[in-house]
Amino acid sequence: MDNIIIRVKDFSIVPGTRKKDEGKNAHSGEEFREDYLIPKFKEAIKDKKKLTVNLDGTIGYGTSWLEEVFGGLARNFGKNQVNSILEFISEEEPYLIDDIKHYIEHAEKNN
Amino acid sequence: MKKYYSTSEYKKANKRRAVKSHKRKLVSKEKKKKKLRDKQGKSVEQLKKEDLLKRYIKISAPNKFSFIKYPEETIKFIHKLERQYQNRKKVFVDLSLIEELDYSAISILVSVMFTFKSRNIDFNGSFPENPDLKKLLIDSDFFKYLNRPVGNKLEYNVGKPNQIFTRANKEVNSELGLVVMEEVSETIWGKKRTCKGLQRVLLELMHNTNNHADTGGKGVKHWWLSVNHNKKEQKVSFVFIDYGVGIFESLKNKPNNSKWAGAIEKISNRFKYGSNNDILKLLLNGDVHMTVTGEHFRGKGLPGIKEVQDRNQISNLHIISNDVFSDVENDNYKKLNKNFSGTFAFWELNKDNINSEWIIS
Repeated sequence: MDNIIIRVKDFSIVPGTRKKDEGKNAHSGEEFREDYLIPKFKEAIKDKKKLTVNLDGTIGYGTSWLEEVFGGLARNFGKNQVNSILEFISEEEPYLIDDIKHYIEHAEKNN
Repeated sequence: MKKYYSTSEYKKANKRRAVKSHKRKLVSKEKKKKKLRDKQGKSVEQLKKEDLLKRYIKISAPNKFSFIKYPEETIKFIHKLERQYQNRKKVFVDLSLIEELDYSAISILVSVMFTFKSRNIDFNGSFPENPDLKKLLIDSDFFKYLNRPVGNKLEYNVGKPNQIFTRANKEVNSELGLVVMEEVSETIWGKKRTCKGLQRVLLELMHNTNNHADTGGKGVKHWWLSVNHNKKEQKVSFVFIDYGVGIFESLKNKPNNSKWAGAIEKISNRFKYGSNNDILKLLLNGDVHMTVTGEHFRGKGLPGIKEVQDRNQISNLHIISNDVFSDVENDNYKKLNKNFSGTFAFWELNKDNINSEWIIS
C-alpha cells in the first residue's frame, strides 16, 4: 500500500515562525500543522497508511518551526502514534530527522 | 534743576550706574568683535553649520570604530547616545577623525540614527575626513537619511542591494532569507545557491528578538540586519543587532512558570561558573539547555546557530550580548567591562561554506 506523502515545499519554500502571530507572512509551523499535516495524519490513521513528510525543497528551517509542527503533533496525538505513522525524507539536511525525532520524544515537556 | 538730582547721593549713584553701564557696553563690544573675528575667513555655509551645531549635543565616534575589534569603546559610545536618547536631546555624531570603520560600526550608526529619528529626535553627523571611510558610509545611505524624516514604522530598508543593505523589522520574516540568499550567492558563487545554514541563523536571531528582546512581550523591539557584499574577496558579511535586554538579562527575567526560570542560578550551581562569558560558551554548546531543562539541546535556538557554524554553513561567527564578547569560531569568550544592552551577531558567508543547488527550478 502506498504511503501518503506531504511535501513542505508545497506549503512554503520559506517555512518561518512557530506561531501564526509572529509575522505578517509567517509561513508558521502552527499553520502547517493545523491546515496541512493534521488532515493528512488523520487520513493516514483512517486508511492505516504511513505518512511521509518530505522536508526537501525549502531554503531552510528554524528550530521553532520544526518543534511546533512535530512536537505539536505529538502533543495532539501522542508520541507513540506519531512515531508509528510518520516517516521522513530529508536528503538535503539529513540531520533534521534526528532533531525532529528528538522534538517528538520530548513533546510533552515542551510548550 | 530739581533739588533731588543735584544732591551728592544722587550724583554718586548716577556715576556708579554710568560706570557699570560703560563696562557692560565694553564687554558687549568686545564680544561682538570676537564674534566677527571668529567669523572671518569662514564661508556662509561653515557659519550656518556652526550655528546648527550649537543646538546639538556633540558626541565623537571612537577613532577606531569597530564593534568586533573594539567592543568596549563602541559600547561606551552607544551608552553616550542612549543617555541623549532617553533625554530626547538632539545629537551630532562627529565622525571626522575616525581612522578605522567597519560594517559592524556602520550598522550601529544606521540603526541608532533610525532609532532617534523614529522618535522625532534630531540626529546629525559629519563626514569622515578619510575618503575611503567616507565612501563606505555614503554607500550605506547613512547620510541620505540624516536630513529626512523616517517615521515610526514596522519595517525599514536602507542602502543599496549588492553593496551595503540594512533591513529592520520587529517580526520574524522568513521571506527575507530568500531575497538575501539570491543576492549574496550571486556575489559569492556568481549564481543563485541555497544556503540553508544562513536561513537557520536568520530565523533564530529574528525569533530571539521577537520573543525575548523585551520582557514586556513579543514584537516590541526592532532587529536590524545589515548585509555587506565584498565582491573582490567573494564573501558577504552580516551584522544583526537588536537593542533589547540581551541574552543574560532575558534569562534572568523568565517567568516562574517557564522551564527557563532560574536558569542562571541552576547553571552557576551546576558548573560553579560565575561569569556570563563562561555561560555563553555553555549556552552555545548546548550544556546549559541540558542543565536547565533536563533535555538534550539538539537543534534549539542559540545552540542551533553554533551548529550551523560547526557544519561550515557560515564562518567567523561573533556574538556580543550584555557583558560578553565571543569569537565563536576561535573559541574565544571574553567578559567585557561594559554592558551592551542588546544582542549583536556577526558572521560571514564565503565560497568555502556549504551550499546547494538553487531550490527554485
